[in-house]
Parts: sequence; structure tokens; C-alpha cells
Amino acid sequence: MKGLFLKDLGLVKGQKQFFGVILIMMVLFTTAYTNFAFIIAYITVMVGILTLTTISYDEFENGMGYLFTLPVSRREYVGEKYLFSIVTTLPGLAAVSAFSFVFSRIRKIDFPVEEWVLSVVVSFLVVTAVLSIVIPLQLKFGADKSRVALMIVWGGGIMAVYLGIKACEAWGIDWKAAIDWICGMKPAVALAGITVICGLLMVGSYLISLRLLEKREF
Amino acid sequence: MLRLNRVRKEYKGFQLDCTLNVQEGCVTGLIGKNGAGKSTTFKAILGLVRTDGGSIEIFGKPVHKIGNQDKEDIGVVMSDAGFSGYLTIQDLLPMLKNLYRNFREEEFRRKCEKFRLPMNKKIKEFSTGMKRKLQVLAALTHEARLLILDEPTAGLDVIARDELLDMLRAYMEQEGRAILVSSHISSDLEGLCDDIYMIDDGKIVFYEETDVLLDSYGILKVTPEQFGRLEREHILRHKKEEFGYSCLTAQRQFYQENYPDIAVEKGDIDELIMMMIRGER
Repeated sequence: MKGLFLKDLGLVKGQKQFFGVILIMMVLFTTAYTNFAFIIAYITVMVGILTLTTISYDEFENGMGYLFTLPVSRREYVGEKYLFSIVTTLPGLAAVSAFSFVFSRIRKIDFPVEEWVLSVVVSFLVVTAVLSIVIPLQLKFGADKSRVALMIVWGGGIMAVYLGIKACEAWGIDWKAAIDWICGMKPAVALAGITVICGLLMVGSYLISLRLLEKREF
Repeated sequence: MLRLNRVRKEYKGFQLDCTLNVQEGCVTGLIGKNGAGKSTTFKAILGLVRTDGGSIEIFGKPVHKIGNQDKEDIGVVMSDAGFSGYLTIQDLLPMLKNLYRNFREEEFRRKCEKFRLPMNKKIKEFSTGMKRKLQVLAALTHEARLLILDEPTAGLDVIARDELLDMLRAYMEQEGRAILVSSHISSDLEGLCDDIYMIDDGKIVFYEETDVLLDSYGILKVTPEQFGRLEREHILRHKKEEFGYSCLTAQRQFYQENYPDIAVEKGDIDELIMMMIRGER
């Protein structure tokens, strides 16, 4: 797995422009924008996408098939991608969170610590959800087709939420009370809950990715 | 070293049914026209496609039981795939060092320099020949026992091809090694392989040791009248030509001795392929 990790670092190292854009966006957003919760989530997802980029680069000119002729198993490959996503996203999240905290204080923008913590946690949840959905899609369909698949999944998700709300209304279930209950949770409980959800999402996504990749032909 | 027994793979409009053996100490060639099934055979051996039947054994183990440790003993060149184009050779080095316990970095660097492969240029900017050289060098520098090479000389100029073939010959000087190689350049195979399989439309249609092929096989060029009186027992295929018929035989000497009036050519692998595929029985 170490060899794969070093390969991905090599791929990421070549993305100087991407890091430049992230840095410029981070500076621009934190100096000119006031919605710091959005900034944290946006930059975190951008950094998270790095892992997806490495998968696209692996696929370039059927490179993924060749990779599996080297001493690399499909199980190792999938595991390394999830590990790599965590290892690259967490420092990105930490950096943008620290940046946002400092700049909100410098610019004297109202961004309480509780809201900051919530933004960090929700951003982590969002990036986990995005990666958990997109990594299996990309491994199954490749970079181009996975965009179409993602749109279908995204549309399906919105449709499911809409139908869920309609169903709750039809059966007289007060879904707004559930939202209020979540919002009213103690921060520690909410944090623990979100961590568990993120963990479950990642594990579920890993198992699906593994199954998809093991079935894939090159 | 490698054994394929009735390996089947079905695609729409194509069915692979392949049996072949690669013995220790031997270089075995696989020839056939484009789309004949060479790459599918290689991919089946490498576990990149699922087979629909038959068995594949590498080092005496079923292919599905081949782990990373076994893969360290295999060097691969693929005709339609390679290292990610977004990496440089410099980026590859730490990966290869970690994947292969016996990776010989110094030798790899030296050969990259010899073949003028730039260390810090992205692989996607390499020519086809350079990409092929890189794969061959990676396959040769980790003490593999078995090389599986799909068109390793494609895209190489004559000098690079010669150097590469010399490297493969040098590789075989050590005992306990074997190569399965495909190439559309017959002279590569004639000078390198100990035996040759021919695949057509997914099936192995011909197998022979290269020495026998070159010493005993021949093409007879005969008029219709000569064709009529020709003993057909040793004729493998015949094909209608403007002058009469071309006939493929595995007993060239027999016809040279018994039919001194007919033209008998030694023939090469290209002609053999042509006759085996286009000729009639």
C-alpha cells in the first residue's frame, strides 16, 4: 500500500496549479466573503476531490489495468484510495478551518465558536458523503461516465427527499420536529453522531467500491 | 511456468478458446492478426478479465490464487496500457522500490539514461516507443521469473528494437526464467522464440518449435497442372494465386527432393500466418 500511496503523492505533487487555485480561493473568500461556514465546506470538498483526480489519472490510457499487473491487489487499491482521501482532506479541512477562524476575528465578523465547530463538523460530513458516493461511481464507471451517474444519483437523492417529505405529510408525520430535535442536540452528542455516520458511510462505500472493482474488467 | 487449458472468454461476436504452455527456460511467441485474441489471452493470464471456463496456472498455482508476492516474479508489458501519464519516471521510482523487493534502482536508472528516457518529464508526453521502453525496463529490473510481453517492440525504431531483443536474450541467460511474447514483427519472433503459437479468431490454430518451423516448413509455388499431380499428404494449406497455387508444407525437403521442377521457398512467419489464415485445407 505504501507504493500506491507514494504514487498518489507523485500524482498530487504535479497538481501545483490546483493547489494555487485553492490557496487563492481561500485567501479571496476569507478576505472578501462573510459566509465562513460555506467557505469551510467549499474548500474542504475541493481538497477532497483530489482523491477522485488520482483515480482519473490512474485510469488515463488504461493505466489502472496495468497497475493491477504489478504487485497491487484490488483490495489494496480501494483501501489506499479511502485512506488517501482521509489523509489529504483532514489537513485541508484543518487549514481552511484555522484560516476562517483567524480571518473572521481579524475582520470582526460575527462567527461564534459554536458555529465554527458546527461548520467544521458539517463540512467533514459533506466531504465524506461526497467521497462515499463518488469514489464507487468513479471506480465502476470511470471518470467520464461517473459524472452522468453522479447526476442520476444526485437527482435520485433530491427526488427521494422530496418524496419522503410528501410521504411524511401524507401519513401525518411531523418531519420538521425531527429536524428541530437534531438541531437541539448537545454538541458532543451531535459530534459523536456525525462521526459515527461518517464512519459508516466510509465503510459502506469502501465495501461497495471493493465489490465493484473486483468485478471490473480491463 | 504458465499453462492455459481450454481458457474461454466470450464477447459479443468473439469467443476465445485457448490452450498453451510456456515452459521454463523457453521464450514462447504468440502470433496472430489484429483482433485474433492475443490481448484477450494476455488479459486473462493477468487476471484483468474474468474467464468463462478453463484454467490458468502460473508457477503451478491457479491464477486466482496469485498474490502480490507471486506478482513480484512477473514482469508485464501491455500493448494498450501503461503507467499513468501524469507521473514522471522520478515519481515511479519510490513506487517501484516499495512494490518490488528486488527492484534494481541503479540498473533501472542506467537503462533509462541509455534509452534516453527523461526522468522528470510526464509520461504522457513520451512517444509510444518511449512508453514501451519504460514498461520493458520496469519489467526487466525486478528479477522476474516470467515475462508476459504483449507487443513489446511496437513503436520502437530498428536500433531500439535490437537493443531490446538483446536485453531479452540476456534476461534468458539466467536459469529458471521464461517469456511469453506477442509481436506482429515476425523477425522479432524468429530470432527470439523457441516455440510459437498462432491464434486466429480466438483459437490456437498452429503450434510449432521455431527451429522446426524455419528448417522444415516451406511454401510451394505451383501451376494448376503441378498442383494436380502434387502429393497432398504433407500440404497443410493451399491458396489460389494468379499463377496457380501457393501451398504450405511442413516437409519442405520432401518436395524439394521429389518435385525438382517446382519452386519451393523457405517462407517466413508472415507467410506462414497468411497461409494458415487465408489458405484452404
